[in-house]
Amino acid sequence: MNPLLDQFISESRDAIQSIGERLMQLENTPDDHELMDELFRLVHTLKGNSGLFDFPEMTRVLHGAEDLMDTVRDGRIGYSQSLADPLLEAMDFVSALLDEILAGGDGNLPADAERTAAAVALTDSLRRLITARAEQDEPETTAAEPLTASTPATHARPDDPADDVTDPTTRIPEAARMDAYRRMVQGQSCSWLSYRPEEECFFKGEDPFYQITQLPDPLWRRVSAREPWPAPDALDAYRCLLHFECVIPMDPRELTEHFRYIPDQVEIIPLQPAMLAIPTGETHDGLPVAEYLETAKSHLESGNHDGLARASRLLLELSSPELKVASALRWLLLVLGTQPDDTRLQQKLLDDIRRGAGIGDDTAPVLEDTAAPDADIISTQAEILALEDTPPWLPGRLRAVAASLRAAFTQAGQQARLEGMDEALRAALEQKASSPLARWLADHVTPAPVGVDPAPAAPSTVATEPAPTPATPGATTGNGEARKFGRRLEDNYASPSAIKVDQAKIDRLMNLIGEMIVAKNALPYLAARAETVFGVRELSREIKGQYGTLNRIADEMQDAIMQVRLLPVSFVFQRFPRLVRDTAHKLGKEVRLVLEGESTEADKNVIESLADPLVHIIRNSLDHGLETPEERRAAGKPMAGRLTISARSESDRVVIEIADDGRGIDPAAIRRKAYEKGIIDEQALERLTDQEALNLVFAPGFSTAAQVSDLSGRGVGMDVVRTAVARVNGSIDLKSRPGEGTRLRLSLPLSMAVTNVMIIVSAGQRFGVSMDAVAETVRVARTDIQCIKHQMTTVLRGRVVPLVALNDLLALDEAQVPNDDGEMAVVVVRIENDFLGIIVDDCRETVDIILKPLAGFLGNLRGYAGSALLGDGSVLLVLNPRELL
Amino acid sequence: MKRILVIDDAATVRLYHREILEQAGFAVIEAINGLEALEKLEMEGPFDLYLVDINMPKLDGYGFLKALREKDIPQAPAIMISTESSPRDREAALVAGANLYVVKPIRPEQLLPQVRGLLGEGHPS
Repeated sequence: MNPLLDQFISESRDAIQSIGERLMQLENTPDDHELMDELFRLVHTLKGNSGLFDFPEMTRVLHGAEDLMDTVRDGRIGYSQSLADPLLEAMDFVSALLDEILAGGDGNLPADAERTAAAVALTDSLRRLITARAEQDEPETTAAEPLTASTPATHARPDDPADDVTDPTTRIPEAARMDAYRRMVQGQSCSWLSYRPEEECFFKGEDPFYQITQLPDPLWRRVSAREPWPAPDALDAYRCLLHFECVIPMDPRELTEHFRYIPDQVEIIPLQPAMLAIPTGETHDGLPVAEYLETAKSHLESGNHDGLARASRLLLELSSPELKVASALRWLLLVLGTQPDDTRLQQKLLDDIRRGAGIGDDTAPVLEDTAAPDADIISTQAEILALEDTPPWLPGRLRAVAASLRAAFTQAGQQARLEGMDEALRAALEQKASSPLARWLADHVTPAPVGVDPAPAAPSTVATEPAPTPATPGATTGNGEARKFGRRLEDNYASPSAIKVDQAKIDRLMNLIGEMIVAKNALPYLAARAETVFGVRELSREIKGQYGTLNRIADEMQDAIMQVRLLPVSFVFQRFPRLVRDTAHKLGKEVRLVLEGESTEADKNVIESLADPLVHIIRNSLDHGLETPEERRAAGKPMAGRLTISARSESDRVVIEIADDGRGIDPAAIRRKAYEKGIIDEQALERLTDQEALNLVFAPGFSTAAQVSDLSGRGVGMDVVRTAVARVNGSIDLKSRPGEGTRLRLSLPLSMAVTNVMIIVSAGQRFGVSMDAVAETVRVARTDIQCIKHQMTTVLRGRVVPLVALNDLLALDEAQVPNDDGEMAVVVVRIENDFLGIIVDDCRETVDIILKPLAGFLGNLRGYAGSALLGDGSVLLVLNPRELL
Repeated sequence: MKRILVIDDAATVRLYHREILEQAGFAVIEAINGLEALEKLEMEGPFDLYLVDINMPKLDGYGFLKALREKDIPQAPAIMISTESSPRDREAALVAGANLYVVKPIRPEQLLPQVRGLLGEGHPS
C-alpha cells in the first residue's frame, strides 16, 4: 500500500479514537469550549484528509459531522446526548470504511450502492439535527443562512494566459480556427461575432437564442454569462445576462444585415487568416527544439517546404499535444499545406516554437507575448494591496506582496516589467500604506505595450530571488537573539518528542535481544570447558568475568527494550467508557464507570491480550451482575450501579480488578447449575466450599445466565476468559458476595518475551519449569511421603500437599532417584490456588530463555509450554504443569 | 534548492505536500502547528515559501502569518490552504499576510504552477 494511504489510515484511526473520547468527556462537561474546539478540529482534519483520496462516502459523512460540530461550537445549538449518538455512529461508519479500505489493500473503495445509501442517510440525519435544532433554538438564523452561502462563482477565471479581451480569437478553439483558416485561404470570408443582448430584450419580444441559431453553418459558438450568476433565490430570470460569440463563414456585411435591428448589441470583426494562426497551449521550458529550429530555418530560407514539413511532423510526434509548441507545429503544417508561399507567417510560427520552448532570442522580432504572469497571483496581490487596514505587520505584508510579484514576473520571464517596483515598495513602507505599491501594480498589470521587448538578454534569477539578505552586523545579533528565543520556545511548548515505530521493528529488537541472552548463556559452559577439558583455569576465570559484564549489559538492554514495548493500560481502558455506556443503554441500566490506575504499564502483547477478556468480563458484569434501577432501589442501593476497573503494578506483575456492586453470585445456584450440566457429581455438590463453587464459573461449558442474551453469555463464558489470561501466563480469580457485588482479579506478567525457567532433571533428561509456576523447591525424605487413597502426599509446614512423580506424568518408565541422603527433590507448583508437589530427580539452576511454542506435528503435544535453546546448544523442553495434570 | 515550509497539523496532508513538492524538486520542511513553524523559522532561517493550513492547535495559520509578517526578515510569499471558499475567510487570510488563498482539496496540477509562480521558477525540464 502507498505510504500516504498508510499515514492517512493510521492518523484517521487516532483521530476517531480521540473523537470518541472527547465526545464522552463532553457528555460530562457539555460547556467545555476548549474541548468542543478540539473536537471540531479533529473532525475537520479528518474530513480534510479524506478529501485527498477518492472516498466520497467518508467525506460526505464527515462533512455532515463537521457542520454539526460547527453549529454546536458556535453555540447555535446546545450539546446533548442526542447529538453524541449520531456523531458516534458517523465515526463508526468512517471506522468501518477504513477497515474496508485496508482490506482492499490498493486504497480503492469500490462503489457500493448500499454503502452510499448508508452515507446519505447518516449525513441526512446529521443535517436534520442542525436544521431542526437551529429552528427550534433560533428560528431567524436559518432564514439568513442561504444568503451567506451564495459565493459568487468565478466563471471569468482566465485559464489561458492568452485569453485577452482585446484579442478574442485566442478564445476560439484551435480546431475551429483551423477550419476558418482553411475556408479563408479557399476564398471564403469568415467573421467573428460578439452579441450581447440587452438585459430587457425579453420584454421587447426579442429572442437572442433564436437569432444565433438562425445563423447558417457556424464554425464555433459559445455562450457565457456577462457577470457571475447570483444565488438561485436572487436570480432574475427575466434579465438577459448572456454573451454569445460565434465564428461564422459569412461576409461581415451579411452579418451586419442579419443584426440590423440591434447594431449596438453586436460586434463584428472580419477575420484574416494570419489572425487565426496563433498557437495556444502550455509553454514548456527546455524542449530540445534548437536543432529543429536550425534545420527549419535553412529549409525556410531555401524554400524546401517538404523538408520543413517533414522535420515539423517529426517534432510534433515527439511533443505533447497540449503544448504551445505542438500547436505552433500544427499551424505551421497547415500553413505549409495551404499557403506554402507565406514565409512571413511561417517565420512567425517558428518564432512561436522557439518561445514556446522557452528559448529567448533577442534577434527575433517579437510578435506577441508568450507568457503572462500567473493571473491568480497578480490579482490576489492587487486584492491584498487594496485592503485598507494598517496592522502592525503591514510592512511584512507589503514586502511579501513585492516578493510574490517579483516571483510571478520572473517566472513569466518578464523581469523588465519589475522596473520601479522597488521604489514603489520603499515609498509604501515609508508611508506605511499600500497605495504606492498598488498604483505601481495598476500601471503594470495591463499588458506591456507591443514592441517593447520584455525579455532581457540574460534572465538573472539571482538578482530577483527573495534570498536571505547577507548578514549585516544588526542581522547577526538579531539572529543570535532569535536562536535563544527559539530554544526557549522549544523548552516551553515542544510536544513530547515521540516517534512512531512499526511494531514489527520492536518485535525484531526483542527477538534479537532474546537471542543475545541465550548466546550469552553459552559463556559459562565455555568457561567450564576451558577449565575441565583444557585445564586453563586462568582463561576460565577471565571468561567468567567477561560473562558478568555481558550479562549486565544484556539485562539492561533487555530492560530498555521492554520499556519501549510498555504501554499504559489506558490503551485498553479507553474503549470502556463507550462500551459501558452503549451496553448499559441497551440493557436499560444506569452505570457509573470508575477507571483507576490507567497509567499502569505493561508489555504491549500483555495489554493487547487483555482487551477481549476484559470486554467479556465487563459485559458479564453489566448483564448479570448489576441490577436494573428498580431492583436496586428495592434492595436499598443507589439507582446507578458502580463498575470499577482498576490497574496497579505488584512487583513484576500487573493486577487488574473489575468490581461491581451488583447482585453478586449465589454459590448455591452455581452448584445446582454445575450439577445439572454434569460438570460436577453429587458428591462434589455437597463437598465444594462456596469459593470452590464460585470457581466453577470458569469451567468449560458453564454459563450462569438462564437465558442466553445477545450481550454476554453465549455459552462460552468465563472459561474463554480464563484460557485467554492463561495464555499470557496470567491468572484470574473471582470473589463474590451475594447482594454486595463481584470482584474479578487478573494477575498478569509485565512481559512475556523472556521467561525465567528452572531446570529440573528427571530420568536423565533436562526439563524446564516456568518460575511463574514454581512456588518453592524442597527436599522431602522418602519416609515423609505417605500414601492417602493411592495418592502420595507429604506435609509441608502443616499443609498437606499432594505429590506426583514427573516420570509418571510423562510416562517415563523409570523410578525417581533420591539423592545420597535418601531425599526426593520436589518442585512445588501453584495452579490457581492449589499447590502440588512434582517429584523430580534434581533441581538445577534457573535460566532466562526465549520460549518458542511447539509447532507442526508437535503442536498438539499436551503438557509442554514449548521449547527453548540453551547456551550449550541443546534444546530444553519446558513443561506446562497445568496441562500435565 | 528552494525551501518550502509546510505547516499543517495533519500528517497526511504534510506527507501529501511533501510528495508533490519534492517530486517537483523543492526541499520541504514540516511544522505541525504555527508555533512549531515559528521555531523552525528561528532555527532554520527564512524559507522561500510557506504553505499554511488555517486550523491548527496552539497557533493557527492566521496567527503564524501575522507573526511571520511582523518579523524583520526577508519576506517570502505564503499560500494559505483552507477548506472554506467564502470571501470572508479569504479576506481574513489576505489580511493576515497570505499571498494566495487556495481551497482544498489540493491537486498537484493546480498547486505546482502557483508554487512555481511564487518562487519565480520556470518549469524544470
